Amino acid sequence: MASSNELLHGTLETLILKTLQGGSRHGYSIARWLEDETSDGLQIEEGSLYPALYRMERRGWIEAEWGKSELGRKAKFYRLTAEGKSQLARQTNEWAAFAAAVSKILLPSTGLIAEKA
Amino acid sequence: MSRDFRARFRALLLRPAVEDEVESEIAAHLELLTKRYEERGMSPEQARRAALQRFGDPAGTGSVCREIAGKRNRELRLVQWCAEFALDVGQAFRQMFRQKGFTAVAAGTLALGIAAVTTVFSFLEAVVLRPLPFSEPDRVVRVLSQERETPGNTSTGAFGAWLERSRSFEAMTAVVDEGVTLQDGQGATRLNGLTASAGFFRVFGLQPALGRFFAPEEDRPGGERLAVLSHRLWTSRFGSQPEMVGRRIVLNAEGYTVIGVMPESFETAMPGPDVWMPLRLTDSQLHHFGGNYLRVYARLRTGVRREAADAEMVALSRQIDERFAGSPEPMSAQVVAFSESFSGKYRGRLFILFGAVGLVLLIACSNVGNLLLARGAARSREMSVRAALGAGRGRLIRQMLTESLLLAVFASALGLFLAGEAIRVLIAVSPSDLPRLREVGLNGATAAFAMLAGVGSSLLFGMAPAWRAAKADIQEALQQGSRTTAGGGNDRMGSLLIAAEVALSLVLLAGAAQLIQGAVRLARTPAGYEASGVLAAQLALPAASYGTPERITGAYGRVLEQVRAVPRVETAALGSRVPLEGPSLGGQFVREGQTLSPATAIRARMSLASPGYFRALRVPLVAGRDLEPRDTAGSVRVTVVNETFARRLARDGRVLGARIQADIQDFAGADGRQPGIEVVGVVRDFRDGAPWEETEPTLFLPLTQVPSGPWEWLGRGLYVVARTAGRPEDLVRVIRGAVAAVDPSLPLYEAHTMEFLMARTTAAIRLNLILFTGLGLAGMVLAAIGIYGVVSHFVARQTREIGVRLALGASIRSVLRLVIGRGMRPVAAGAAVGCVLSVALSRLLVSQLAEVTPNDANAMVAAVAGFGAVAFLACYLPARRASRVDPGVALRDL
Repeated sequence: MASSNELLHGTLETLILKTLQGGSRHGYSIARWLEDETSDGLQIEEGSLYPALYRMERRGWIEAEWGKSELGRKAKFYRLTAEGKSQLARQTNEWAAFAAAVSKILLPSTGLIAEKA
Repeated sequence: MSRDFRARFRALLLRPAVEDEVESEIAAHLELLTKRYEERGMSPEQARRAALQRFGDPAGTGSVCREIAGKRNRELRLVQWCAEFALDVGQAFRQMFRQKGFTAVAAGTLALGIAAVTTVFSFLEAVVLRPLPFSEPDRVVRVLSQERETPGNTSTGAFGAWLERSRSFEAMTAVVDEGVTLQDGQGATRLNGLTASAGFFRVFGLQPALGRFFAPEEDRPGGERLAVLSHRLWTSRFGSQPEMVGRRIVLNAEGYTVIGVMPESFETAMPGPDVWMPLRLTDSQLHHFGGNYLRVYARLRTGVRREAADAEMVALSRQIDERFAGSPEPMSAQVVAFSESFSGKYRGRLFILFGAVGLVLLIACSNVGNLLLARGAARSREMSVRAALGAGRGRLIRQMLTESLLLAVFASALGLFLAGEAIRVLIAVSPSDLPRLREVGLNGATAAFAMLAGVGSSLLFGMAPAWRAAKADIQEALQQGSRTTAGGGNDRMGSLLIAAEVALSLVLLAGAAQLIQGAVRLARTPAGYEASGVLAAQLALPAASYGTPERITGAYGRVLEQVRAVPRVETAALGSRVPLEGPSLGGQFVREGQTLSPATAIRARMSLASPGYFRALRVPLVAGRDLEPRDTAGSVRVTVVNETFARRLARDGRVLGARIQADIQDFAGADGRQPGIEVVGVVRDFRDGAPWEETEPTLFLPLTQVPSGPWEWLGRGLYVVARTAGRPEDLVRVIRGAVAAVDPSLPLYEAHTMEFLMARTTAAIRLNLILFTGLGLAGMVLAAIGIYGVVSHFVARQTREIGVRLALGASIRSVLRLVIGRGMRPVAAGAAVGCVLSVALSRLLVSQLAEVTPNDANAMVAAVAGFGAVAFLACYLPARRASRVDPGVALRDL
């Protein structure tokens, strides 16, 4: 089981961007969605999640808006910006290329990974 | 202090926001997490704990997030600020183009001010501020001897003692100018030589461009004759040949070996000399306290301050005085920075000029400020609307300042261009002895200065309208509508600006008036001689072929005969000086038999002269006789004195026939006794020095009776003075030929008409006069425009009130009085302040400009009267318009 500590550098950010592709979410909901989607295969640590969100907000990939959580408390809802969207596309491509390259070494005979994503 | 304050300010304002943001977000997260655990069947307490455990370190995460959020906010603010600034600039651009006339007047006024300060700054920068081109110029000083008030050159004895006993310096050198005649295949050329003691090159930290410099052991009497060429001479005369080093050249009819070439850069620091030679002082000279003719330079030891060196030299000179000199006046010394002695009299002049153009810029600023105020009044509705739409006070101020800034940037660019033109003109008319003149020009530093002046000005003149904008009262302005606009405050500020302008321009004008007064006084003071038609040229005999006084006077006698034979030369004579030019010899004299004491000594200048010298200059003899050919080496020593000397001598007895004695070692006979000199004639006082200098007691000694010592001081050089029929400059070639007929190796040099010499002496004064008058007038015109603007504005605003007054039967006179009084009140206040300032600054002016007399009341009165008249006119024109207001029209608009 991979914890987010072991996630390759930048991967968490890409995952967050992907999460927000479906619409705006607050921090808790992002973590929950990622864990649910991977059937708890990824466990997102809050200690990494929030700094990542703030960093991305500072870079302008995502923007935030105050809203109400399901429990009626003030919460920040994050949303992809145009720049965030293009960032997601770029990072997805990079990841695919990286994964393909690593797979060529680690899984040489399976042929399960396509040459190019 | 301010940074600390700002940090705290930011902390107060922003941290709660960021803290709140992070805290609520994390709290929401924890709450949702707790809820989830509860749904899985935990008790609220257990769920809470599990959630906290799962989250890890909320405080640590929070602080990381807060830090990032803080940075994010700062960036956002910057972006917002830039966006607003861009908006303001755009707005300002539109504003400028909408009001082309206003923009042209304001930018033009400002550009003139900026051009003026930038021009003077470029001179100041090159002449005074730019470091000199040798190593650590700050450590190089000039050491001056001080007997009586004026510090100056040093005696060989004092130099010897300083060299031996001073501790503040790493190296010390003494130099003497010595004109030399270079003779080679191209003929004889007169050059500026400098004899220097060996420390010279260490004092200035120089490396030769070629070859080497002379060593201390080569700076001894009797050694080989060595020469170091200036880079300029090496290139211009010797075609930059490297083989020049080691070659022999003939200077003053003697062979010198060239050992090196000076670095080219040093010519900036010392442009005069063409060739350097060892000074070679003898041991006895180093202990002799005779004439003060050495210029002494030194390099301070590392860590020694100039003030400390000064204190040491003062103390040391006093000791030397007690041990050796025995002179009636105590000796002291002074250590001044080389850079200061280098820029000399121009330093003070340039700083004063800089102050003057600074005033012009200030006047221009207050004028533009006034213009902006007047326009601001028209725009107060716009401002009120903006404020009503939610623009904060800060935003309004910023917008106004941005407009000012944009105006200033335009003005700076225009000013820089104008400065470039002005610099070219000024260089052409600058006195040629202004150091580093060729380096004056626009460069990075001056461009930066122009921009800085522009931005500084924009803050100055932008302040008033920005202040007004900030105070825009929304309700009042919107209610009042467009006809009448912001009233009293504007006027008060306008009046204040007018008063400031008047004060500043009066200071300028008073300064200019003082200079004019000084120049008029100088022009009125008779020179006492007749300059027109007189040619003066220099001649020097080399020691090698003219070693004794007999040979010297013999040669000069033949020269005089030849020159007198030239057609159209009416009279010709020889002298060690001509008025304004030539070495000044001085000494103390007493009546024969008296002992030297401060009471009996007459300090006088000495000149050598041939018979006919006074006739050539048309200086009348008032008593006795002229110097005559019968005064020979063998006859009784005689002298002709000027009236000032005669008056001093008359205090204790008769003048004609009186016998006096010099206290000059070189005059003493073989037995060590001073010979008596008989006063045989008195000539009318004439101005020997610069026009603003007092006439000093002077005595004229016949060439034929001068012992060899004084000939050495003079480098065996004299002036040929010829009064000619027709233009003197036409005769230079013929006279040169006449001299060559005596000895072809003698060059006649520095041939000028007396009129040229007079013009050259007063060149700096004339330039100053033109500049200050120009600046004073510019200031006055600017101030007048300002007054006119403010009064016109007042009239325009008060048209209705004036109309009512006229309708109610007020006389035209009373309206005139109202409006003019309105305008003249700040003028009077400003004039009073200006007078006080002028009196205070007058002393400064006098200290720097020799031609000015202190606190010249006439000049002050003239300045105030002239200015008052112009200011009155500036008020009268709009007042007359006010008096012609048609009451009917004015009232219909109600």
